[in-house]
This record gives sequence, structure tokens and C-alpha cells, in this order.
Amino acid sequence: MEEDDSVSLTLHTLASIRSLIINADTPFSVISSVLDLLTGLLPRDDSPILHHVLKLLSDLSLSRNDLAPQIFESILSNLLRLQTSAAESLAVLASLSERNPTAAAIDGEAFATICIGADVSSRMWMLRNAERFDLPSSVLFTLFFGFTKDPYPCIRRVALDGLVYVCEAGGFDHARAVQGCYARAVELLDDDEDSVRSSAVRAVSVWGKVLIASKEDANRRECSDAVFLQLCSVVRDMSVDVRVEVFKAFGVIGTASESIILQTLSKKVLRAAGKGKKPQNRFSNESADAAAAAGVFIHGFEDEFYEVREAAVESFHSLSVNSIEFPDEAVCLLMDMLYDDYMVVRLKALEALHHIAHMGNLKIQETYIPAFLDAIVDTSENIRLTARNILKLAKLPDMKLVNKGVDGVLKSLEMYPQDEPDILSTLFLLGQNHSNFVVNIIKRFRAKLETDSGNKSEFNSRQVSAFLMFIISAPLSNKQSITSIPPLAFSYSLAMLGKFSCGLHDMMDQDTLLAYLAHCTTRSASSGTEFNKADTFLNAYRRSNADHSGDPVLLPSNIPAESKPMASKEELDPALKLVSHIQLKVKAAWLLLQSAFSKEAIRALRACKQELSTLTTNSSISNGALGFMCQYVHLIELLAQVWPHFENSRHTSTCRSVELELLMEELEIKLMEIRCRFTGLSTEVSLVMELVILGCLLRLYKFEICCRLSCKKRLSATVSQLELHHEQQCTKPSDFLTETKKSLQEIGSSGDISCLTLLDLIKKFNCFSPEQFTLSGNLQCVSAELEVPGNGPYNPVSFVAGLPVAIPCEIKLLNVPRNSRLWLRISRSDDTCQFVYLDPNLYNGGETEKRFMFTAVACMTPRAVVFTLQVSIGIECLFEDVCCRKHRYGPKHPVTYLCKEREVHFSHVSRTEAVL
Amino acid sequence: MAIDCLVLGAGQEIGKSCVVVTINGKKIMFDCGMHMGCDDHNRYPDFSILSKSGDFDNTISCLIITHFHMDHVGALPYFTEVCGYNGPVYMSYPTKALSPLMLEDYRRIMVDRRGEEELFTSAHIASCMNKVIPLDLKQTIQVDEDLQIRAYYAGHVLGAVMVYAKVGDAAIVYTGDYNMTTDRHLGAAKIDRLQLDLLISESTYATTTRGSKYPREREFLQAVHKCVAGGGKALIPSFALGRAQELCMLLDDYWERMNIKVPIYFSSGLTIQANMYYKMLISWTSQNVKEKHVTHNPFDFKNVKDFYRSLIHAPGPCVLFATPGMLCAGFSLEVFKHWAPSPLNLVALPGYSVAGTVGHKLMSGKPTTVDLYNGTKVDVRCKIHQVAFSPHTDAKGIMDLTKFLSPKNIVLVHGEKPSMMSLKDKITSELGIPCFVPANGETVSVASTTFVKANASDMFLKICSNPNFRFSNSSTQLRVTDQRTADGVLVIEKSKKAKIVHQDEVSEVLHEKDHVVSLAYCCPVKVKGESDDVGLIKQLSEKISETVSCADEIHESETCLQVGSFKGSLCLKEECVHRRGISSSCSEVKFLCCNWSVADLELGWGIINAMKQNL
Repeated sequence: MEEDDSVSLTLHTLASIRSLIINADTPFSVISSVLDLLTGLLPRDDSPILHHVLKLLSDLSLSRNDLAPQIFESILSNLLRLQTSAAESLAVLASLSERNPTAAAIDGEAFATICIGADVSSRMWMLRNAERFDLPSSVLFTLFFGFTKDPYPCIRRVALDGLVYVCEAGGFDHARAVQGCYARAVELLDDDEDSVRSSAVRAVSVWGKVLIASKEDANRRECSDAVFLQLCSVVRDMSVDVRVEVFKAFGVIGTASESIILQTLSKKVLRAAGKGKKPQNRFSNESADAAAAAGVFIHGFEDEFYEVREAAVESFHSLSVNSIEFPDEAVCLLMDMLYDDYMVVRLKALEALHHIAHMGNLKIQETYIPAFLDAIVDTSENIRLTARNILKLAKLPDMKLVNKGVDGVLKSLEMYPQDEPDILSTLFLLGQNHSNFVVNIIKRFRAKLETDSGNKSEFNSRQVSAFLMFIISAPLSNKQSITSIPPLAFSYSLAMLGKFSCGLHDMMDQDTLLAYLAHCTTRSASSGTEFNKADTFLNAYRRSNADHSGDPVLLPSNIPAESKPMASKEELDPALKLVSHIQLKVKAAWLLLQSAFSKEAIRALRACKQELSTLTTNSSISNGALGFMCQYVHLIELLAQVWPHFENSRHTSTCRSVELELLMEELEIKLMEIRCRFTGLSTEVSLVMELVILGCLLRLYKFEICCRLSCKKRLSATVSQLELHHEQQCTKPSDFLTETKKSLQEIGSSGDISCLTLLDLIKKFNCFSPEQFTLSGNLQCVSAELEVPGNGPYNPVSFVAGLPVAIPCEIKLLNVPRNSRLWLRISRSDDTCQFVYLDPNLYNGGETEKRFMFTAVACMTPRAVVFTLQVSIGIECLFEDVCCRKHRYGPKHPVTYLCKEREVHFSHVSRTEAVL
Repeated sequence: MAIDCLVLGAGQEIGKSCVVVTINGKKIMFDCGMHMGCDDHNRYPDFSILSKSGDFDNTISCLIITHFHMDHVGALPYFTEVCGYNGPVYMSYPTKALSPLMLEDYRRIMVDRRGEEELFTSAHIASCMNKVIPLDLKQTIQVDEDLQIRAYYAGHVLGAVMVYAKVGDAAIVYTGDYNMTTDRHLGAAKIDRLQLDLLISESTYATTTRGSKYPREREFLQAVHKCVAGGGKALIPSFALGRAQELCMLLDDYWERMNIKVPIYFSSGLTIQANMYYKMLISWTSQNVKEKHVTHNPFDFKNVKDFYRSLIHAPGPCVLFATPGMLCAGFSLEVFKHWAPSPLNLVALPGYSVAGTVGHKLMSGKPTTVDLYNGTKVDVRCKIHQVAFSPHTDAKGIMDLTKFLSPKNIVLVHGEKPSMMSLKDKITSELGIPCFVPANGETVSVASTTFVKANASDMFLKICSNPNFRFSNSSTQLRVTDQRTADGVLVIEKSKKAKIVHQDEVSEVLHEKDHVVSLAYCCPVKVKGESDDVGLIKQLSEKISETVSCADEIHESETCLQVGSFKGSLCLKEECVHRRGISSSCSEVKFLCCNWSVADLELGWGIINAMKQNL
């Protein structure tokens, strides 16, 4: 490249330079001389050429990335000289610095100088792209703020947009600048140009927001009112864009005084608003009063353009979120929007109504019912969904409307079968919310149901399932209604369990639903004289419902973070959530059991056990609590196995009674275990003790006279112990306990026990009320590990027949409470056993974990070549109500074992060997 | 210059709208209507005020009709054909299409039915329509060299426009009738923000403020629905154009939604013909209709059928739109006669009814019998419903438009005097705009804007090409001003064009010298030791550079000293005028006579103080 600078470059030469640049094989030396040539041309400010030179440089930087910093530098250094094509060179710089973030930043002052000197089109480009240059926000602010004074409307608009950008980027809060910016934006609300006005509205809203935030609390309301009213003054602008922006801006401000809100809903100037306290508008010269807000929303809702209506409805929604009191007329206005021709508008209106319904303020009048019914059968899925959500929450004032509502939902089910699950849940909630009217509707359905079921060929399952869903919701809120429900309904519902639980998945799970239905079936069959258990169910159901209060549909997108309900602890931890679900399931299983569905109950309980076992130890639940849960569920399972024996007649075959005997035995052992093996029980004590009482009652009911006395004794001891516990904890004894106590006193006087009373008592038992189980975390599981080091079938301990033998045990104890008595139980397969007392001094330290060696002496060595002994550690149950055993040696109370039995192998040593 | 606004009709009344505005010498006539309530010579505007000789062609530059209602177009054939105006007549396309229908219908009713004297013939209508030049929305028309007119959408009825007229720098807007809220088939008025000297606005509902339109629509629909559900017949007497289409759209939609099968009838051929025009003039309807039109023409009513006279006594429910409105004559009155005695039936009266018509009687109270025009009496047992929609803007709409346009003056026409007066007070007090309510025949004069053209000097232009921002920090907020025009000075010399020059050029343009303010002081200096004048100056210069911070470059010559604009030289005079308050008795003291410009005020006094310390 031997070109001379003085030679004026023709386009032809430039074209050949370009071909050199884009050719990847051009040697570096050529490229660098091209670069020198081009950079040498820059200071000449020869504008026809310069345009091409810049283009070539940008191409060069693209193809040779390593030259980019050098090119950047040379353009930057010539920037101020390049007056005529400064904007173009800035564009090159911007693209360069975007590709190489390391490149030096462009000086803010230089940028401002160029911007002020540039012609209109370049100036507009620069202002639009100012964000691309890493300029300090003060420079940007000054530029944008200044150019709001530009005579060209396009520049004013871009400058206002820039100010919005600066504001949204944040960090700019000099009080005077904010005030000045807001005031300037307000001035431009009167601009002649539509586009400037719409940008000005945006600027007023964002800077107004900053201004409001900068005020002290006392002035804040006043300030936000002033901004709101300022925006109100442009609501009647003739430009659609401006109107859309204004309504969006209301959403941004989001709040205003109640008097102003009321005024926005009426075109007539309200006396209270007009003559009351006029918010002083210190931010512009004219005084604004609430009259400016007259009918703002009426105008918005009636607007010719759907964009405006949509924005109006949306901002109305966000205002209703933030204002506590929103008058009924407002709701009427909103309901009118349900007839809008545009889907978006209808949807937005429904969403706003849903929000209002969620606040509990929605009263649907007859006038608007057609609107809702239309929405329910709308072609748009979103609209149908939102309309149903409203209906789920709505309270309809009379029978006629409820009927209409139900009909509408049924019609929509016919038209859109894909919505079935949600429609079912809508019907369920609708039925529940209108319990007073349900009975009448049930009558209507009942006839339909009976004819349908009689005629199997025309069994319209979808419709019937909808009827059923509606019917079965009734007893939840209205106990009396169960009498009017044919038992048939519940039996059919059981058949549709899968479908129903799918619809109600966010309210209850299948097991709970099953339990409920089963319960209803029995109650309804027994003519519904007693339906107290429904309360139990209802509690469980409500509790599980509470988890779903954070329904995302209810929360508008722009709701402030603080108004969201605090996420409950359970939501945060899946493990805790699972446990609470399991509690509910256990409860449901218990209800199932009582309704004589013992097999299902046992299955459900086993599933619970399995779920619990999946919980790993590192979850937030303590091991103790987890262990307790497992034990407890196991106990309930045992009870479930025992239960059918009591449901049936009192006298059964011997075979069954043996089975029962075994089960009862196991139950008692497990009860003992759960009592002994956990420390730190608080409210759980009553849970366990009630089970003990139940066990006693069961025994009393089922077994022969021989053990009655001891049983009775134990029963009264346990009852009084539990009473004492309640007194100490200041908790309320359960119905079960008080009932038992009452009957005990009766028994005590007569000495005779009526089986019927017992049965009644047993049925009273209320399994697992969640209040009693807090998962306090103080629960500790008492456990032990026992090891005989080195011992095994091939490495037995030697013994001499007839002589005691020492067993060296390595023992690890966990959480063993003070003053407990530990025993080593050494047993032989022939059921002879021996207890060895463990010296408390060995383990009564302060630590929770203790390891020590202990040598147990086994006395009963048989005459055999080899034999095995089972060794385990047991804890003596020192409870007042537990009767003493009559052993000469060994523990006086029953013993619960803390570890698995360890087999210890022994082999006989011949005398000669011993001598050797 | 001034703008004169002469009100020929609709001044403090409703009917025969006609306003003649003179802007910078150009006369424009807006609307040429007739009064529906008058039968005498007052029916038409008094055109003789304009020209005694009847030479309207030379008096009036153009005539603009805003929409096809009789009180806006009714006198047009009379004015053009009978009075002999031959100048240009402007109206929008729909108005041009629909006006002849209206005029012909009216002529027929007046002449054929009532047997009145014929004021214009069908031929008149046809030939007058030939003179009409159609206007499109936002189309600027140069009527002559100076006069520009432009039409804006006004809502109200199909084809209604507001008219912007500009002569030179003076501009006005005549609104005609307009509606600020959209209805089913028409949009809301839409106009740009213009610099106006005068706004002439209608004020039919000068004191009414209407609530949301939705409840009103609902009431109407429910009244009709209840009637037909009960097996009754609903009669809606209305004029063929406007409300009939509006209500019909409403009913048609409702019928679809509620799945009602009751027939809706249109009575006259005129309405059918009008519907045809509506179907064609979709671009003049509301946004909603325009968008729906892509899939289905909303004026293709699904449930609407033609009505035959035999159907009057047909059993079963129906809805009937019958012309004319107000039950003043014709078919609607005939149907009313048959249907009014049944309590099942309903008469829904849309809009305003002129006093004296049956419609007015029905609305003003609950009459049990009504006298028809020919003396027969009819028992009225049917339900009466007043449909509360109006295609006119309410008071708030007038205020909103005025606020948006912010004209310099307002003239209110087309309204009732008491309510116009209260609106006038409201406009004057709330918006601070002078407002006039002239009666017929009165003229309102307002000043008009005139701009003076001025040349600008090159220097001023050059300086103006770049912004010159000045930020000022007032007590509470930051302000910005663009100073570029602030540096200009307007120079108007005798017999020359005005010129704007930059302030630096002023003296040159005016051939005046620059005046400079300078300060002078003859400062006493003490001579230390035995030094001569040069030594003294050196001493002083050292002293100054030590003490005065901003004295950077000190130039010394023999007896002079210069710092910036500050000059000091030894004063040899016995009595110097600048020497004040110091006696020259002391021989040790020499004087340095100093002067400096006002720009270096601080510096000068600083140096003086420094030298005085030397004393």
C-alpha cells in the first residue's frame, strides 16, 4: 500500500482497500499499513470520504479482532475533530466497545459536546443510544433534561424517554433534580405533539413515583395525590397513545386518597371531594383539585379503543389492590366490562373481579349474572378459568341465582369437557359456599340422579359426576343437609373417586376424600342422627386448605411484595410439608377404619410408613420426631388390624381370638416402647397416653374376666396420670379422656362393666388430632448399640459347660435419660433368659452419647459343644400405671428393648485345651 | 386584525345552526340549518344581515356543512337555489350522501303530508348537491390563497365533522355537533392540539353530566327484553339515521347473546337505504365496528327484517323501529295508535322530543290519553321508556374539549340560554378563557393572532443552531432554559423589515459605539527608602503578586503597571479627579492613577488594597 496521503482517495481505491480488509489471507503487514492509512485519514474531516473510512475501520475491527482496541483509540482521539460525522464514529465506537468490554469508556463531556453540536438526526441517534455508552448517570441526566427543551418534538420525546430510562436505572435521587425533572415532565404534558405527551406521561409517572418515595410519610399521601391528579388532567387527551399511557401510569402510582378514587368513579364532581381538603399542588402552578379526577375510570371504560379500556381495567385492578375500601359502584362498573367485545378486556376485568372477590367484597347482583354465565361458556380458556375462580369465591344472594350459576357451570361442562376437573372443584366450592340453598338444589338433582341411574344406557357420566360433586360438598358446611342426600350419592361418588380427587387435588388428596365419602356413606345410611365426625374431617380439610392460600391467580402481577402472605414454615420445607400431609392421611385412614374400611385403612397407613421411611435423616425434622412418627403410625396400623375384631361380634372363634391376643400383645409392647424410648415428649404425651387408655379399653372389652381387675387398675392409673399431665401443661383434656373418666367413675361404684359403654368409649377415640403433635424438635429417641467384638460363628467365645461365661460387650448408648434402669437381657433359644443389671455409674454422665465396655456374665451354659445366646439392652419402664412383675431377679417393671438382639456364639472348650 | 363571529342561527337556541365567521377579511359560513319548531319566516336564518343586495357570492368565501341533520343542512337548498349563493359548499362524503335523503324526506313530510307551501323542490335539492365539494377527514383544503380548512372527526352522526379554518395566522374551530364518548357505531370526537384564536362549540347539554353509558344501555335492553318476554310489542320511533342504527346494533348484539328469537323490524324504506350507506361508510364508524367489519359487517343485522303494514296486527311479540322519531307524524304515529292501548306493549323514545309532538307529551308525565294531531284520542296503557342516550356531548365533554384545545376565546351556540350561561361562567372561572354566548344576529369580535416576519442575522442563526442550556437551581427544584433565543435582539427600523440580530451585533447594526464601564481611582502609594519611579513600580508589582491571588501576569513599564484590564500609572497631576479623601500634603506619598474595567471589579479593588497596605 504505497498510497500517498495527498492523493485524494477515489471510491475505487476504497473498494480495493475493502477487499483487502475482508480477505482473510491478506498479510498482517498490509493490514497494518491499511490501518495506518485509514487512521491517518481520520483527522482530515473530509466528510464524503470519512463516512467510508469509518465503515472500513469498523469492517477491519470485525475481521481483525486484535486491532479493535487500536481502532477504538484512534477514533476516540479524533472524536472531537470529527464534527460532521461524530455520530457515525460514535456508532462505530459503540459497536466496538460492545464487542470488547475492556475498551476505554467514552468521556461523558466529549459525548455531551458532540451531542450539542450535532444535527437533529444525529442528535436523536445519540440520545436514543446514549445508554450504550457507559456514561455516568449525571451526564445522561443533564443531557436528557436539557434536551427536553429542544424545539424538535422528536428530540423532546427521546429526551423524555431517556429521563425515564435514567429514573428506572435508579440511583438518581437528588431532591432538586427529581423535583425539576417531574416539573419539566408535567410541563410537557401540554405539548402540542402527541408522541411527546405520551412520553411525558410516562416520565411523570416514574419521576412522580420517585418524588413520592422521597417525601416523608406525612407528605407522601399528599404528594401521591398531586401526582395522581396531575395524570388525571390528561385522561381526556385525544391521542390514544397518551390515554393508554395515562392509565398505565395510574397503575404505576398505584394509590390515591379515597376521595379521589371515589371521584374517579363519578363524572359528577362529588361534594366531599370538591369541597373537602384540596390537595395542594405545589409542584405546578395551577392548583389541582379532586375535580380533575372526575369520572376518569368511566371515561377509561367507555373508551373507543380497546387498548385504553384494557389499560384502564388493569390500573383499576392495581388501585383496588392498594385501597382498602373500594365501593360497590366500582364493582358494577367493572362488571359492565364483562360485555366488552374484546377478550383481553374481559379477561382483565375478570381478573380484577377475582381479586375483589378474594377480598370478600364481591356481591354479584342479578343484573350481572348473565355476564358471568357468558364468561363461563366463553370460547377463551383463560376467561372460563378466571370466571370459575370468581364463582368459587362468590356469594350469591338467592336461590335463583345459585340455580342459574349451577346451570351455567353445567352448560360449560357440556361445551368444554376438557375443563371437567376444574368445573368439578368449582361446583364443590359453590355448593359449600351456598349451603343454605344446597338442600333445594339437591332435591332437584336427586330426581335427575335417580332417573339417570335407573336408565343405565343413558347414563350421562359427566353430568352425573357434576351433580354428585355438588351434592357431596353440602355436608361440609351444612350438617343437616346430609339427611336429604341419598346414600346412593355417596356410593356413586366413591366410584368416581379418581375423577373427583383429580378435581379437588388442590384441596384434599384422594385418601382424605375417600375417608370423607366413606364417612358420609355410613352417616347418611344411619339417617344422619350423628354427624360429629364431619367436624373432624372438616378440620383436617381446612387445615390442608390453608396451605393453598397463596393461590397465584389471586395475586396480580404488580402486587407489592409486602402484601403477599408470609410463606409459612411448612411451605419452605418439603419434609415438614410431607409430615403434615402424613398426619392428615393418618387421620383420614382412621376415619376410614371407623367406617369399616379396615383394609383400605391399613393400606393407607402402610403407604404412610413407606413415605416416612423415604424421609432422610438430614431433613429438618429431628431423628427423634421422625422415629416417633414411624412408631406412632405403626401403632395405628396395629390398631387398624385389631379393629375389625371389635367391629364384629364379641365372641369369635378361638383361632381369631388367638390372633387378636397376639396383636394385642404386640400393641402393648409397642405402646410400652413408644413410651419409654422417647424423651422430650410434651404434648405428644397425651397422644401416647390416650393410646394406652384405648389399649386398656380394648382389653377390657374383649377379654375374659381374669385380667379385668388389673386392666381396670391400669386404666384408672393411666387416666389419672394423663389428667395430671393436662393439668401441668394447662391443656384441655380431650373428649375421649373426659368420657373415659366419667365411665370409670361409674364402673368404680358398680363394679360391673357394661360392654356397650366400653364400645361407645372406644368409638369416641379421636385419633391423632394434629394439635397434639407439634413436632417440637425436642423429641429424642433413646437407643443403644451392642457389639461383641470379634465374635462370630467361626470365632466363638469359649466356655466350659456349667460354669458362667463372660461376654465382653461394647455398648453405645444414645440419649439415655438419667435415673433409668438398663438391663442386659441374655436369652437362650429355649426361652430361658437372664437379666444383668447395668451399673448406672457406667453411663450416667452428662453426655447424650456414651461408649463403654461391659463384661456380662452368663450363668446358664448348657452342656453342648456350641450354642448361641441372644443379648440385647433393655430399659425398664418405670411408670406408675404399669404393674410390677413378680420376678425374683431381674427388673421389676416391663422392659423395652433399645437395640436388636445380638447373637453371641459359644463353643465348648475341652478340659485339656483349657489346661493347655 | 380581528375575528368576527356573526351568529345567524342557533344563538341561545337549538335549531337552524348558522354561524358566519370573518377571519382576516375572509367570511366563512358554517352550517345552514333550519328550525324544526318554526313554521314562519323564522324557520331559516336571516341571510339578509349578510348582504342587503343578496350578493352572497362575493361576501362569503365558502360554506361548510358539518353533518346531515336538518338543523344543520335544512336551509342549504334554499340558500343556494333560492337566495342564489353559488360559491363553494363543503361537506364530508357521508354528509353528501345522506343529506339529500334527509332533505327529500323532510320536504315530503312538510309538503305532501302537511300540505305546506313548498320552499324548495326536489330539483333544488339535486342541483344544490351538485355544488357540494366533498371533504375527507384531516384533509387540508386550500379554499383560496389564504383560507385553509380541515375536517376532524366529530362523532355525533355518521359523517359529522368539526372544521378547522385558518386564514393567515388566525385559526378557529367550529365544532358543529359532536360527541366526546364513543357509542356502538360511532367513535368519539378526535382533534389535534391546535393553536386557536376562537372555538365555536355546541352546548346542547351545557349543564348535564352523564354517568357511564353501560347502565343506560342495560336499562333500555332490559325494558325491551321484559316487554317481548311478556309477549308485548316494542315500538321505537326514531329517525332513519343515527339512533336507529345505534339501538339496532345494541339490540342485535343482545339478541345474539341472549339467544332471543323475537323479530326486529325496520319500518321504512329510508332506513333500509340508510343502512346500505352505513355498510359502505365503515371508515367513518367507530374503531370497534371497523375492526369487526373484517369478519362481519355489523350493519348486516342478523335479526332484522322488513316490516309490512299487515304485521301491525300480527300476534306475538316484536320490536319495531318506525320513522319518524318523536311520534310527530307518519308511520310511527300510526303504529302507536294501534299499540298504545295494550299494557303489554312498550314505547321506547330515544333522544330529544320537540315540544308539541306526541313524543314530548309521553315523556312529560304519564298521560292516560293522548290527542293525536287530527283530533282523535288514544288510550295510552303501554309502558313508556325514555332511552337516555344522546349523540351530543355532555357538559364535561365540552369542558374537556375546551381544556384540551385551550383556545383564546370561546363562543357557545346551539343550546338553551340558561344552561349556556352557567357553562359560560364555568369556563370563565375554571379555565380562565373568555366565553361568549351571542344571540341570533349578534356579532362577537375577538382579537386574532398576527405574526411579524423577521429576518435573522447570520450570527444569530449560527448561534441558534446549537442548544445553549442553562441550568438554574431554584430553591426547590432544578430548572433548565434554552438560552439560544434569549441572546437575540429584535430590531425594527423605519421602512425596513424587522430583523433579529445577536446582542453582540446590536451596536454595529445601530452604528453606535460600545460603552464600557470602568472604574478609576487615584491611589496613594508610600515610597520606601530612596527609590525612583521604576523602583517603586517594581516594589508594587512584587507586592501585588504576593498578595493578590489572581494577578497572574503583571506587566511593568517605566511608570506603568498592568494586570489584566487594570492599569496604573504614576499620577503627576497636583489635583487628580480620581483622587478623593486623601490630602496630597505628604511629600513622601506618590499617586498611582488606576483604572480598570467592570469585569475585573474584584481584581481591581484587590490590587488597590494591596497597594494601600504599602502605604
